Amino acid sequence: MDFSDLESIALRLEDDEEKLRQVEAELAWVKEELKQKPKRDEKEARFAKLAGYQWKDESDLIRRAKALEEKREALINDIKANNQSFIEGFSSKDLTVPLEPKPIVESGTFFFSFRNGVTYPRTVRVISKIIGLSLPIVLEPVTISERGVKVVEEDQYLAKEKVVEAFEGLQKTLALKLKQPLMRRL
Amino acid sequence: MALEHAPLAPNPVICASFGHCGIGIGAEAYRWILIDVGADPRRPALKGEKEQIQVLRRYGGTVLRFGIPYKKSEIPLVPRALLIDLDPRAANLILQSYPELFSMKDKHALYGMGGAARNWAEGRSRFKNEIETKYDVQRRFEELSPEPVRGFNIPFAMGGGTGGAFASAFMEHVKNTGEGTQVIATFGVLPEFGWDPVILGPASISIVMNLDYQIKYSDIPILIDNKALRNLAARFGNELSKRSSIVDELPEELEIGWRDYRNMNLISAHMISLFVASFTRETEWDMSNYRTWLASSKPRFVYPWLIPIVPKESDIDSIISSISEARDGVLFDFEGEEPSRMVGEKGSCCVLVKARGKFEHEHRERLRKIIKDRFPTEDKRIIFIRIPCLGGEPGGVLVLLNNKAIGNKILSIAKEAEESWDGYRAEYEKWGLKQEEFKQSLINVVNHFS
Repeated sequence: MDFSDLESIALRLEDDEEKLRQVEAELAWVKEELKQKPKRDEKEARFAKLAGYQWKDESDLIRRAKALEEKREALINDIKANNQSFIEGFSSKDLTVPLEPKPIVESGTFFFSFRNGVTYPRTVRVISKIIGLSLPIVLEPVTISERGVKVVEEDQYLAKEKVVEAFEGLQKTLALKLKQPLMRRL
Repeated sequence: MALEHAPLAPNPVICASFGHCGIGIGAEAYRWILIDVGADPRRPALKGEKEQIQVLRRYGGTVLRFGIPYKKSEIPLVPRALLIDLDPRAANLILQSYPELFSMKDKHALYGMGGAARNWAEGRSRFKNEIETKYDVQRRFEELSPEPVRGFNIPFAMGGGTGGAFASAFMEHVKNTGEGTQVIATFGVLPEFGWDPVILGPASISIVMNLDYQIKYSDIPILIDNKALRNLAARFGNELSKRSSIVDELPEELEIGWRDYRNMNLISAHMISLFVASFTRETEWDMSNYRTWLASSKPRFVYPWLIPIVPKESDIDSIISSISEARDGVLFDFEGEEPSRMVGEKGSCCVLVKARGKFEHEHRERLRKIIKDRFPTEDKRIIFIRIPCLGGEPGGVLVLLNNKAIGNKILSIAKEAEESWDGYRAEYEKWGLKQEEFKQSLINVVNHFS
């Protein structure tokens, strides 16, 4: 598992979350309409009687609400599954974080960019969201952003050690969210 | 009364006890130490040069100091102890019950406006507002110890609000304001969920925060576990009931809340007295040596193994022969897991041997075997430290274990804390513990113990 795989999962995850937000907003509107329905139906029926025609309910709200509920359920399941895959992938011992081996050095900091200038905005966003940290992710002296990893350190080797520690810390903490016995994973 | 040839004393070590549990254990540890030197804990005074030399040989004035003489020939012994709590009741009770022991009266105690509601964040915030700004903490130390302070022994409970939070804030205060030479030893007590009066979620969050502060600021973090202590207290109840305790002398109507912990605190006091003896008596070991021992360890935490639980004999053969007790004397509970499978390759231990007579190669081998049977450790990673056993006092062995066997239990507490956080977040953020800080501490603790 590497960051590209995680980025794909994160893309699906974020897409589904966006869809879920839309479905929930629509569902909320439909439910509100359904609440108002008895009052409106009564008025429509009375008007139809007055005007001398047969009134028929064509709003289809109930069927629409049911379909939205089903869609919502399916999205929640997909999100759960993707979330689980993301956590499993990120906390896997085989995780590869594609960092450039040679950092850019700037007055007391080392910046390890992701290889070939690739960015991983979704992966970093999902990690921060699951763990509950803000962006960029700061684990003193390491800062993880979509472009790479910055370390405030004087020595390059110590900086690399800090990067490893920061990722291990994140991996192990994400693994807490898995239901398997901890030591088997960590 | 000046001694003509007084031994040179190491610099003082102050026992800073935090919260109800910390105060109980700290006060009991002093009582144990005073009984060790043959003093009456209710009125600890020395009646002559011989007794003074005896005390100086045992504790070197490190944890006890000589007070202003009562009469011409009587010199009081004063604990270098500070009892600190938000709720004044525990410290008051000890001061009132032992006015001659804590003879500097309220100089021995600092307290605030009432408990911290089992909320670590509230405790930390109120330490800063009600203790650090209200009292001149540095001056309190100087009153207890005019000489430069060498280090601190800090007992506290990790699952509550005041003890753990105060201990955390205090450690940070010492490390940020001291000169870097002061050594901190912490005795953090893990609660037994379902038995101790702690709330599972908040207690787990408190434990995570306390562990993170100990990782950052404690040189010798020692973990003890109430579940193990409770089992041992019940098993050795008869023997422990023959030892006198500070609880026995509290007014009957006030001993509720202390009685249940009497025997548990005695076991902790025995352990602390052996630990303290390792650097206060004439040994080849200094308090700061523990810091180097643990500097590169992961986890940099130790848990104690006390042999025997209740001291009886003083010769090494009899101590080692109490093997049936030896197996039970680990003051940590592994929740049914077998620790031998979890110790890791780089585990080490420090064996403090307080016994009379010679400590031969054969004794070391026997002790090594006992330790290795349960906690497989390379011979070269086992350190032996001899502590003189003087007068008629009984001896004992304290094995301080540093290995990964405690990791599983700590990780399950971390998991509980992580799952509880969302529910309690607002309550903690109100007192200044933001999600960002908690999560960073959680990551640090999980990384450290896995």
